[in-house]
Amino acid sequence: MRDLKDAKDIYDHIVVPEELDHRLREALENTPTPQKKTANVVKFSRWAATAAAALFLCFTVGLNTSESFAMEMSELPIIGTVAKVLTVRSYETTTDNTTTTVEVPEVQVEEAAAKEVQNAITDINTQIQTLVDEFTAQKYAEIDEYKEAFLETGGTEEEWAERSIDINVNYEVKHQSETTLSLLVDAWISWFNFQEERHFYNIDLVTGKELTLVDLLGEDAYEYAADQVYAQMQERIAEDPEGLIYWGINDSTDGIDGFDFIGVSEETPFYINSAGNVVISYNKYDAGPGYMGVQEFEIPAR
Amino acid sequence: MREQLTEFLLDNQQKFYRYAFTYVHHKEMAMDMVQNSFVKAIEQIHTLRNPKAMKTWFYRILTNECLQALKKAKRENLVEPADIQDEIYLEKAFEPSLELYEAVRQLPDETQTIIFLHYYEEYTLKEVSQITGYNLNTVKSRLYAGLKKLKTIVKEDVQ
Repeated sequence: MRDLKDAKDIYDHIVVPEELDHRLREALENTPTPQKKTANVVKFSRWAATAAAALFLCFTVGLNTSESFAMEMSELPIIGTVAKVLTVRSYETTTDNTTTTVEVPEVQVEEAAAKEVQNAITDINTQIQTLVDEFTAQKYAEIDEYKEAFLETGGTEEEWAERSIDINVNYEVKHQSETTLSLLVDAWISWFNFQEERHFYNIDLVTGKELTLVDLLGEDAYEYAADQVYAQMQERIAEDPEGLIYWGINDSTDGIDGFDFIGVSEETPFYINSAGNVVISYNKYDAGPGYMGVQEFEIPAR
Repeated sequence: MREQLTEFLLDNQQKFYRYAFTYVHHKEMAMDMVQNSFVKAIEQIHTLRNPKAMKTWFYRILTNECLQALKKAKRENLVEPADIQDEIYLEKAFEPSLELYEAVRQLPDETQTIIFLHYYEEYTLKEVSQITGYNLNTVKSRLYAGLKKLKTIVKEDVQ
């Protein structure tokens, strides 16, 4: 029942009265804390110690991770000798209450590459540029419209300034070899809800063209990938029957209209992972309910 | 603990308000419901043993408050399912279909709660079970009965 996403969107757009905050603060101030028993105090301080220890642990792990992450990042952009991915535009701006962080990638091929490859790559770069420009322009327009309505319905400039909005565009090289490049461009906005657009570019560096699932998995790619996804969904549910829901796979959703198994088609997002395998990457809401987030399935090579 | 709870409550007040409003579609009532839940949370703070469980613990208080308020409102005829007392403001550029949102409001109260928590607040069915106190199988069977019913309501509206 993907239409419930519409219902959730309506829910997320319910306007909160401006006086709410003041009312709640006042109510909280006027409510005394009930008398604590000694036992509770002891329990709480023991908790505090555990929490502090956990925090310390997180910090250490964070440091290590970011270090190796940084090393990995510095090695990423070079793709064989044929092509490389560079950040051609990178900026961060803050206006009003909106922070925009953008990193636009560009694929560059050696000058020695065939003219048609160069042209094809240029087309893809233009597509990426357009995508980023349109995304940010559209989000700015939505924010302006929202702000206008916010002020019309009794909000003040000060209250508006207190809301924080983030727009972010970045990219990730998923796979790099002398013949293939797989790139994710990820654009999102975070305000009263979180909206994300993910675009994958899977490029054949020999021809400069975008790869399809048929190119990678053969004539019956869609049936083959769908069978693989179906089997993996069943396995995952078998491992965690209470936690996971895939439309059309759980007994409880099977056979009800609108709960059909998502399947695989030419529209299905995918990329190539570092091992060179196809990974089907369904957007949030598509393969299961929203709390499941993005769902990915690695498809074994044939 | 009190500071932690106060901060949590104030930080998430907008979410709580939307949740409460969805039950009654009445601004004043929804604000009262959130406010009452805040007061109850502070008064019952000693029942919160594990701060990590704060979110589900509070949603349990809030959900009880909402269900009670909804029952009372229905008894006093303050809420008619087909009648949205307070218009929901929606962005102009944004026009989703209200059909299913409205259809959800025709379901039994308990089933609505499950749908609000699972689809709107994105809790797992396990968490929904913890919040509502229904056991997991009850949550599931009510949810799927509810979804089937939704299909019928939506189809009838089309015809």
